[in-house]
Amino acid sequence: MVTPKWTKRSLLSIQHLTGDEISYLLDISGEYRKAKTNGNSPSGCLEGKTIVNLFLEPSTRTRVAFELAAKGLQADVITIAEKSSSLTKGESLRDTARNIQALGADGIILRHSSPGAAQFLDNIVDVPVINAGDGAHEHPSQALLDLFTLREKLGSLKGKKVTILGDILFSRVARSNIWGLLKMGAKVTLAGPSTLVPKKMEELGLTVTYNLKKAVSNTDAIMLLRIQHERQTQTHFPSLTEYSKMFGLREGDSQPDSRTIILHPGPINRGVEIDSTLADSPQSVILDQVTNGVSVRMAILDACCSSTY
Amino acid sequence: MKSFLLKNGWAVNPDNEKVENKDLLIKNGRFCELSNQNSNTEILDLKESFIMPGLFDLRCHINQPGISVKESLNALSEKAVSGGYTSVLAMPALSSMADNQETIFYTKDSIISKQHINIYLTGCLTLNSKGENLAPLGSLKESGVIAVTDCPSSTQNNQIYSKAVEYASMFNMPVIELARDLSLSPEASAHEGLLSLKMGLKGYPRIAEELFVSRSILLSKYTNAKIHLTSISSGGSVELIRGAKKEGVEITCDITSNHLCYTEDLIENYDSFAKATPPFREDEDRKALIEGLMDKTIDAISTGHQPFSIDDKVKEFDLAPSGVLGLENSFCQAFTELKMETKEKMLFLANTMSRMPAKILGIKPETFEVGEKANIFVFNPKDKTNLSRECEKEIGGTNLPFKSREFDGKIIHTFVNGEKKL
Repeated sequence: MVTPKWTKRSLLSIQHLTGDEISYLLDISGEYRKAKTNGNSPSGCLEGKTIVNLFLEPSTRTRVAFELAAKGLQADVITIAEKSSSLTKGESLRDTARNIQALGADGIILRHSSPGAAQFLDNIVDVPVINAGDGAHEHPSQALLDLFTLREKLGSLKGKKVTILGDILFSRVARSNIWGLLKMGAKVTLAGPSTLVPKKMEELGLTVTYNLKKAVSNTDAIMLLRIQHERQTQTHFPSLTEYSKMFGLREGDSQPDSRTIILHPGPINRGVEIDSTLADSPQSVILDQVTNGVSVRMAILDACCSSTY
Repeated sequence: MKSFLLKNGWAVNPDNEKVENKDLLIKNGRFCELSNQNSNTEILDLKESFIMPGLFDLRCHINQPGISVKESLNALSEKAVSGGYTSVLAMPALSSMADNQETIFYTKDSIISKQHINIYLTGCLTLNSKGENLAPLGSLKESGVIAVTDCPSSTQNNQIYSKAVEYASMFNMPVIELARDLSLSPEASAHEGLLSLKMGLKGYPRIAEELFVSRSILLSKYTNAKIHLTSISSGGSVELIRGAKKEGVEITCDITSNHLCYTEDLIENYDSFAKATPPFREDEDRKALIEGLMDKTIDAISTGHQPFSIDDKVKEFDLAPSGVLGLENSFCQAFTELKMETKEKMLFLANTMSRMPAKILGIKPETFEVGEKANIFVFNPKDKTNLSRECEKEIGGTNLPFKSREFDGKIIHTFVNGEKKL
């Protein structure tokens, strides 16, 4: 039995969680995951509650995982996507959120392109807000499912070496994972082109390297990040081909040890960040991440939106 | 017009660097010989407070008229007066952009009234401040602008900027530049550093300012044009300007009082009200700015007053507009921030906030001489001033960079052209 250690109304970031709070969420995730494996139906702790998925930026995995999680806990789920919302008619996020609350939502899951948008929303509404990605700031549920997957495969994260490889600068997944890994006691290395991996990040208590070989050897796990080539080609790196040559994970030269596990938050640019053979190899836990995503989001919704804890 | 006798005050005169205990008579808007008082003269016992020359703001955005929800000119004047300002230099975004004579005439005739403080106008350096075509600087000068600028934009194209500066110098008009290389700070909403990295905000690196500061220094050196850099924010800019002044380059610069007092810490919780142009930077920058102010590398302190309504500002951080208020808080917060002996500090602030701004613009600074218009304020250093965002709601701009603060000293009277406004 997990002892309740959760006092927060909303989940806005990993930066502001304690190691205990993270462990607590991972422990409940574990219970939901076990129930699923055993074929038991999860608790109906959100029965009669309405959860609003306010997704103002495209998303497949996260949106669907939150929907499944909420439905699994017997909540009513409403999904509002950018194109169907009044924001396209010029309504501000402040007004949209107040209206959603007035309609009786018991929790809002927000995906938004502005950093800090979840905190902004949390200041306006009284119901729990769950950050499903705010610009380049944070993506806490992704980090929690990554931590969950790592813990499942590696055991305790204390002292484990984890390399995050790719576009750190523009990545909310990287930021949330950096906070989460550091708080769980892991040793973090960031790698990628210098234009996307600021040396300044070392001030957070981690290592930055621009040497791919060094970054992928002798490490317990490698977390790949998607290269957002639609945004940065030309200004931050020359081309996808060049990126793939310099920082792509391939068999041969830049191949990690066979004991190293490989994570990717998706969607994958096959042949750019990672070769297909590696992505589909037994080292890859990419699909485990997706499966775990539902259990982790159940845990988040349970902690924030149910009255159980 | 009412006459006033100010008794027992300390008059702060930055011209002769003296603080003298003397009585002043204001009659018909001007300082008069004391013998001219009559039975209607109101006597104000200042009880050892300081009489300061009215402050002159080098960078004030009025965005008038028609957008009064941001801040009406009456509200702006009220704030100015409460902050000791008797004159401001309005940036060229008026009812429309000040790139034509008609806008200047219209603003002077219809918008600015006698009720307001002294409002001086600037014209655009380039048409619509777009940085593509020169504005008609000669005609603008004829219609009464005293400087030209694209602030809060900055002309990006070097050819156009250098020609504009050269052309403006023909009319002996100062060019005011808010130095920013946009290509190095696209869509930026915060100082580039560890905090912007943590917050996931697009950064405005120091080098984006410093590169354009260098550009102006070189242009000033080779053309002898009068360039004034407003609101510098990076420690590196101070260093560059210090070097240029040592070489004899005739360039001037100011910082805003807010940048003198605050750092990026204010935005830590995505407080869009504290999103400033340029952004607040780190404490090492702030310290370098203070050092530059002390050794006269920095000539003046401005407000950078940019009013926005609550609806403008309560937005996602990166979508909210940049700009903070400055008229009501600049003097008291600078007084609180600077550590000097009081009389010395009053002289220093009178110089950097009143005398130097006027001199940079080629205007006669305020004085207490008989026959001159009485633009002054009275400051009691022993009292306190409390300012907070909430109390601003009623009168326009709400975007003070801080939520609530107490400052040393209090402005108790302000006279604009001899009229008692506070």
